Amino acid sequence: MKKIITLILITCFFLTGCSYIELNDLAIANALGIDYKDGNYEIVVQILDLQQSGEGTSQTKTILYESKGETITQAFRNVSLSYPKMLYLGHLKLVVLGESILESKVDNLFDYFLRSPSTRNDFDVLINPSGSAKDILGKSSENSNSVASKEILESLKVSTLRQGTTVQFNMEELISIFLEGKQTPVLTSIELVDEKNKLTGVVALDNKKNEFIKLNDNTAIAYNLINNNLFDIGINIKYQDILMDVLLVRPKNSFDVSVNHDEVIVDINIDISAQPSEIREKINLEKKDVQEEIQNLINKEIKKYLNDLIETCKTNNIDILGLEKIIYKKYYKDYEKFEGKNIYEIAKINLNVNSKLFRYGNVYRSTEGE
Amino acid sequence: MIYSDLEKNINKIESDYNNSIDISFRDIILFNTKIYLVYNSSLCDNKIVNDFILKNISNLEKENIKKDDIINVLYNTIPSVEIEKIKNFENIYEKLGNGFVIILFDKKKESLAIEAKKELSRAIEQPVVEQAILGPKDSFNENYLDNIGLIRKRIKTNNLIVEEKIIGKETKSKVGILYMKNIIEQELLDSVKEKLDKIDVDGIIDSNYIKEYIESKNSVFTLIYPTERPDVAVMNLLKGKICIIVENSPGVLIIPTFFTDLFNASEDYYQKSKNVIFTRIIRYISFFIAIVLPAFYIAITTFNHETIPESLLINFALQREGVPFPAFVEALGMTLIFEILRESDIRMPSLSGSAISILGAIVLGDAAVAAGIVSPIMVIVVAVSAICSLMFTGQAMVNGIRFWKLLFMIFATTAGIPGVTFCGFIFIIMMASLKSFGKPYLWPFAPFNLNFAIKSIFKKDIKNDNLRNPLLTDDNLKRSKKL
Repeated sequence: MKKIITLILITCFFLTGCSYIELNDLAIANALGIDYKDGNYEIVVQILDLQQSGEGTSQTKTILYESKGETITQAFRNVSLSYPKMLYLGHLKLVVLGESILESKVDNLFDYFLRSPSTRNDFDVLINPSGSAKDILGKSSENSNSVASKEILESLKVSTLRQGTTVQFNMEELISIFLEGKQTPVLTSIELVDEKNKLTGVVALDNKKNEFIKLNDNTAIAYNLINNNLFDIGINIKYQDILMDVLLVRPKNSFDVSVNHDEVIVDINIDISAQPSEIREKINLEKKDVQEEIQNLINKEIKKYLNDLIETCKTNNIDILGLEKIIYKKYYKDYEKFEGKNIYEIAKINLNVNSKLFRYGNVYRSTEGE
Repeated sequence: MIYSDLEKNINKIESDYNNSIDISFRDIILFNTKIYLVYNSSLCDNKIVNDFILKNISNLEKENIKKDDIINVLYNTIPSVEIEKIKNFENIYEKLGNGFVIILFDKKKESLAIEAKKELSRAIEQPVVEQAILGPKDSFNENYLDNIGLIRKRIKTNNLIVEEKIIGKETKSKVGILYMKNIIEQELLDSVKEKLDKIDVDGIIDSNYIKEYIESKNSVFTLIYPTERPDVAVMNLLKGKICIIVENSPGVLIIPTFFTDLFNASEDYYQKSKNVIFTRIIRYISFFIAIVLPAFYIAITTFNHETIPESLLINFALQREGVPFPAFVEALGMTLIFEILRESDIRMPSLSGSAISILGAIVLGDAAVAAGIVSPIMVIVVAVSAICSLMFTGQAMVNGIRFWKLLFMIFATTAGIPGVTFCGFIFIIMMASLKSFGKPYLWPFAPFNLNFAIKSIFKKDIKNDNLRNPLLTDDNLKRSKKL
């Protein structure tokens, strides 16, 4: 009896279905571009070319393949008409959406990635609001000595952490925001500037109006500050009308939404340390009053960024911070009163900014003197 | 029964042995009667026969002794520790086979058997397989009494008991059962004796015959540990285990054996515990790598490509470009070649051994990769797995690793990482279901005993290691006083 059961179990095991595929039969896709034109999805896929890479080279080369289809799945399958291997999206690092993607519903893209077991959805998503994805990936592939999408990703990571004018969202997060439907997603834009790929800030994707809204740098910095996405960023303040560069580090920021008697109260708390990085004025940082003045200027500058963000959301009726989502989660019973409304217009928003100078560099006095 | 007629006895012995050339007959006239010395010239030492038996017999001629007392006189005068009176042919043949000289008398239904054994075994040498840098360097050999002596000289009390059984209808091999009477669990001892009594075979050539007969399950990992080191045998006797010594075999069996015993080397006890901890951890890791690494590589390159970082994936893909065989065939081929090399290295005379190694390295390494038959990464994977398996010198462990490595590879080829996991479950279930003479094989991990589990990996100092395994002893748990 035991032997029969063992035989049945082992046989079942071998009948579980085959997803056996050899490594060198895979077309490993590194980056993907999606456009929509005349009822067809046009995809551009950057595949690692193993034959070109060869032995003895540390650089891996990529080649670009295009295909199209009425659905995303068909477009992917049609890649094999020009490239002899099976497209593998398990190591996809970057997806670039073209401006034309707004013509089809963006949600249509998500179903494929959500449903497919072979994709991991941890790749970054960028958007080209002024052109096609093919323009971006085509330019990156011209530099065939390396995997150029890697450069875009590194640049995105560094600029988000150190500059604050871009945001890093992966597909998983994007899908989650889209499906919840209570927050306006923001994506980093990448455009061809002077024949080179350049990260050009942040766009909000207004799903209701089906349009992109370009956000300025201040809004982007404020967004990253509030969400603690920064490692350190430099901002300029004017100390006695002369520009001074200050590095903001160690963010411990938060924001909270509460509803009190039909009134929405938003508390945005910015608690950050600052370090002067370039001073062009005669100054002595040892003096307490100088320190306090600089701190006040920093607070003022940050408040300006935050106000820019709030104004942008008010004007365009978008919710990039996800206030509506928070009200839905925390105050579900009161949510109906605020559903569909512009929260930024009706809410009382309290900005509490507290910066503290904690490091002064190697010298207290500037090169201009004291 | 022996005949009273001397000639009849001699004729019977001659015909029973079909006139074998090594059975020698020497007739002597003693007190006007004939006596015959019958002995096996291939087993008896002529010097002993001449100097102690024949000389004494010839000296007796001068004495005034009655014919009837001749057997008793010889019994009391011949200087030999092993001397017996025998009355039947079965015992005569047994003694002849053990290097005894048989003295047959006319008109007597009794004979004398006097030991005159020639030393046919080798001297006590260094261990061949279980080599150690520190600790004793002697090892068991084919001499039964020598082997018992090597243990006896280390345990001098009367608590060491040696019981003997004769097993094998033709070989009549002596099988010694050694145990400490103040420690041993009676149930274990009875079960071992019962199993030995059940053996019904024509011959026992080596201790492995006994091992295969008494092992409860035919598992690839041994349930009875063979050792060639007396210090290891003594250590295990003091833990409450049983040792079985088989005549003409240099392997002494230790019963019962736990899985963790296969990871311990005798040398562990001759070094500081802190130094040993690292080595033991490496052994466990090596075991895991030896059986799982090729399977894991097959799984990640054929099913679960998303589990490895992109840069590594690209490297693997680059290296596998142009290789005509699937990953499983590559791995199997490389493993097979390595095993062939290993086996041929063992059996090759040492002079040719180095040539084989060089040939293997060239064949396995550069040439196969250059010819595009295998990928470089596969050579590395198989080589690392093989090097890890070389950590274990015991043949049982080597065979076990080989078997499970292959099984893991098959499961990886069929279902990728889930297949490897499934095979891992099977491995744990099978190991946990094994029992070595009623003792759970995976003890102290299953059933879990925290103290001993920690001790099996993180070896305690000898002065703090004062408890015996509770499974092996009824009530003598303490080995020493804790300092």
